[in-house]
Amino acid sequence: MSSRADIDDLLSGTFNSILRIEERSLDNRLTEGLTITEVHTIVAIGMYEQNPMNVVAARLCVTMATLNAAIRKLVDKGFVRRTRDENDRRKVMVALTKKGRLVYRAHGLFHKQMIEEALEGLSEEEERVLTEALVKVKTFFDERA
Amino acid sequence: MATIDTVKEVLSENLDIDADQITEEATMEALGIDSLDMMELICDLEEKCDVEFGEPEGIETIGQLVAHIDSLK
Repeated sequence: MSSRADIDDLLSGTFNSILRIEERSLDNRLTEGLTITEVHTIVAIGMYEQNPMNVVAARLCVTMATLNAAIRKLVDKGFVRRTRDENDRRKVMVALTKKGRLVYRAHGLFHKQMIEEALEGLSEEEERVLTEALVKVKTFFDERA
Repeated sequence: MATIDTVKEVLSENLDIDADQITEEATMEALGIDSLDMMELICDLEEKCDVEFGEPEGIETIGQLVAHIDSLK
């Protein structure tokens, strides 16, 4: 039976390992030159969506000022385009370019492969129990984030 | 242009794959198309065929790819 200290180490260790692996996954021709934060900004915009800035900021839990700076860079790099809301021309919307959609897909592929490989050694029952436990733990963290 | 011809055109241009090899039965693996190539292929096809490809699972052959795109038109 694991002690609470072990669980603390396991959670922190897993979180840090995922971040490191994700950082390394950027080393491919589709995401080269992007930071992990920029990739997550691209994902928050959505593959085919046109979203107002405040929606993307809320998804990322960042301020509008932080998002504005990030979007400016992504527009300059050709991953994001700014458009105007057809119903309210004053409202600025953001959407992915083809280059941005490629990053979105590459990031999704990375996550899919990572999860498949990570869970390879688990039985169906272990996977079910892990899922149930993670849902409970995540709910706790989400409520305090 | 038929979807299969668009697929042939994109694969010939991007990956230098001989159009004769690109048949409905050919698998992505046999054509040497890796997962990142596939991402690029999908984005090019979305643009050329004017469709939103989505994220379908289990596309392994050119025929399945063509059928999926045609189902979106």
